[in-house]
Amino acid sequence: MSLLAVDRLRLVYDSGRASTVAIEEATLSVAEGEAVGLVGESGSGKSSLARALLGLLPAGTGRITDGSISIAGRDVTRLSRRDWEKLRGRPMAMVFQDPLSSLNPVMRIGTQIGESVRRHDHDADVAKRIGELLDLVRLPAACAGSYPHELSGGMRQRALLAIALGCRPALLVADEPTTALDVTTQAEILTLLRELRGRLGMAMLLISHDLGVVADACDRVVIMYAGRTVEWGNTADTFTRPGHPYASALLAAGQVLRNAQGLFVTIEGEVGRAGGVGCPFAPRCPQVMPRCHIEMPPAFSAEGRAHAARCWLLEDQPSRAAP
Amino acid sequence: MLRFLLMRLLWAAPIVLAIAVLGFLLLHLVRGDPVTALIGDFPAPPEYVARVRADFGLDQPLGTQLWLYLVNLAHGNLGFSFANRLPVLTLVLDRARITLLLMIPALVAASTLGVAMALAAAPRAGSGTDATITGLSLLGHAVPVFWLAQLLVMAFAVQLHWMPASGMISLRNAPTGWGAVMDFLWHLVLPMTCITIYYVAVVARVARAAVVELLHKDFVLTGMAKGLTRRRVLWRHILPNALIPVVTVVGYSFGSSLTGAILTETVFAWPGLGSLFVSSIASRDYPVMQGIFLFSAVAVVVANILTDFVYWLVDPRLHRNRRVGAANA
Repeated sequence: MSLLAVDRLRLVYDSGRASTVAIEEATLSVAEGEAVGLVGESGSGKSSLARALLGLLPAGTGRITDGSISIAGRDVTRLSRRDWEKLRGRPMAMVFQDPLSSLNPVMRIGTQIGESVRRHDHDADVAKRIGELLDLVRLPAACAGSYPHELSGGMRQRALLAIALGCRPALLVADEPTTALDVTTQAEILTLLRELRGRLGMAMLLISHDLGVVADACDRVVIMYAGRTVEWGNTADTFTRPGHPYASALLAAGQVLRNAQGLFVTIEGEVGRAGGVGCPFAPRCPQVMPRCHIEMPPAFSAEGRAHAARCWLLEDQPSRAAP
Repeated sequence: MLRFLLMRLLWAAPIVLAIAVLGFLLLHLVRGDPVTALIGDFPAPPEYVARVRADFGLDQPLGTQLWLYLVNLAHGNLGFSFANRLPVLTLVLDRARITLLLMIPALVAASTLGVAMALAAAPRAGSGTDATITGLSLLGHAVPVFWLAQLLVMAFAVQLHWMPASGMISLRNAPTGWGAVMDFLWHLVLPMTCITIYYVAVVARVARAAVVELLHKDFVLTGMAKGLTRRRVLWRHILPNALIPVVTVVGYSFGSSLTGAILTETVFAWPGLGSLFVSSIASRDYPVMQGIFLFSAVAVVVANILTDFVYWLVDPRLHRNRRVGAANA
C-alpha cells in the first residue's frame, strides 16, 4: 500500500463567479521510504497539489472537483477542517519554499519547534527533543533561543525542517525547499535531506522546477505540465530517455546548453493553461500531430522502460503502464 | 536598551524647547493686552498700568521676556492661575491625573475590544460577521462624541437611573473606603464607554487589516502544516504579530487623548484637563491655557517615546541581533 496516492485529481480555484482550473488531472503515488520528485514549470499546478495534499487549500476558494487523495489508505479528499487538524503533521509534514516568511518572526526557533513536538508527542521531554531535532538538522543548540531574523537562509531552512521532523512524519512534502537559497546552501540542504531520509526511513515528495535537484535526490520522478501529470517513472530512465516531448524540451532547457546560434535552449511559446481539450503541450510541441489537439492521450509505456508518458508518439509500443 | 532610551530623550529635548518657544510666541499673537485683561474694566491711572507692566516684566524686549519665561519653565514655574488661585503646574498636573483615570481604562478597554473584534472579523473577511463588526465599529467612530454622550446620559442616567449623569464622585453623602472606589467606578462607566466607543474603531480597523494580512503569511501555513488548530495559530502566531501596529495607534491615541477628551469631560462634568481647558478659555486664564498647551505637547512627545519603547520590546527584530555561528555541515 502506498503512503500517498493521488488519483486523477482535479482542482479549481473559485473567484467570484469565475473559476480557474489549477489541476486538470494529476496522478501520483509515494511508497513508504521512497523519494519522489514532482517537476514542473511555474503555473503547472505543483504547488496547488502540495497544498491540497495537506488540506491547506485557501478556504472557500480552492476546491477539489474530481479524483481523490488518500494518505496511508485513508481517503482524505473531502476531510473536514477539524479532521484535517487532527491528521496534519503525522503522517505527513511539509516544508515550504521561503524559509524566512515561513517562520514566525516574533517567536523563538525553539518555541516553534516545541509546538510541533508537543502536538505530536504528548509525553515527550520537549526541551530534550528540541535539542535532538536541532542536532538532527545540524543546527547549534543555541539556535533554540534565536529569532528567525538572526539566522542565515540555510539555517532557517534547517529550522523549518526541524519543525517538520518534530511531527515524526512518515512522508515529508518539500515544496521547492532550496529555491530561495544560494547554490552552496542548496547543496547542503539536499545532502541533509538525503541523510535524514536514510536515518529516519522517511519518504519524501520533493517538489521542484529544478531537474538537477530532483535527479540528485529522488528515486522516481513525476513531470507535470499545465495541470496534468504527463510523464512518470524511474528517475534515471526518465531523464536519460524521456518519452514526452515536453520532458525532452525541459531536459534540454535544464542543461544550460547553448544551441548552434549560441543562445540558451528554451521552450518556444508560453506555458499552457489547465483545462481545454487535447494535449496541453500541443501548441508548443515540435512533434505535434492533428489528433493531439483533439484527444488527450492515455499513458503509454515504451518497451523495456521503467516509466510512462501521456503522448501519442508512444502509441506504437502499447504496453500500458500503471502510474 | 539604555542607549535607545537615551537617544530618544536626547531628541525629545529640542522638540520640547521648540514647543515652549512656539507657545510663548503664539500668546503674543493674541489680540488684546494682558494687563487690561488683568486689571479689568476699571479705569486705571496710567502710572498704575505702567507699574503692573513693569511688575510682570512686560516692558522688557521680547527676547528678554522669552528668556525669563524659559528660565521659569526650567524651574518648574509655569505661572499662577488667578482664576483658580493655584500655581499652573500644580493645577495642570492635578487635572491631568484625573483625565488619566478616565483615559487609561478607556484605552485599555478599546484596545482589548478592538483586537478581539479584529480576531473575530478577519478570519471571516468579506462575510456578514466581518461586515457587521467593521460597520458597527465605524459607526461608533463616526457618531459625534457630544451627541453619543448625551444619549448615554439620557438613557442610563435620566431614564434608567443606573448611573450618575455627571461628576467623578458623589458630593453629597460621600462614601468612604471601598465604597468610595465603587462610587468612583460608578461615575466612570458612562464617560469611559463614550471614549471607548470612539477609539475601538481605530484599534479594530488597524488590527483587522493586520490580521487579514498575516493570515496570508507563510508561517500560518507552517503552523497549520505541523498540526496546530486554527484557533492556536490565530492566538499564538497571528495575535503577537498583529499587536505591533496596534501598539502604534494606541500610543498615538494616548498622546492626543490627554486633551482630546474635552467634549466628553464637558458633557459628564469630569474634572479633568479638558474641563480645565474649557473653563480657562471662558475666564481668559492665559497662563493655564499656555500650561495646558505645553503639557499636552510634552505628553505627545512622551507618549511617542513610550510607544517606540513598547514597539521595540514586542518586536525582536528591532532589539535582537545575536547571530549564531554557522552550522557545522
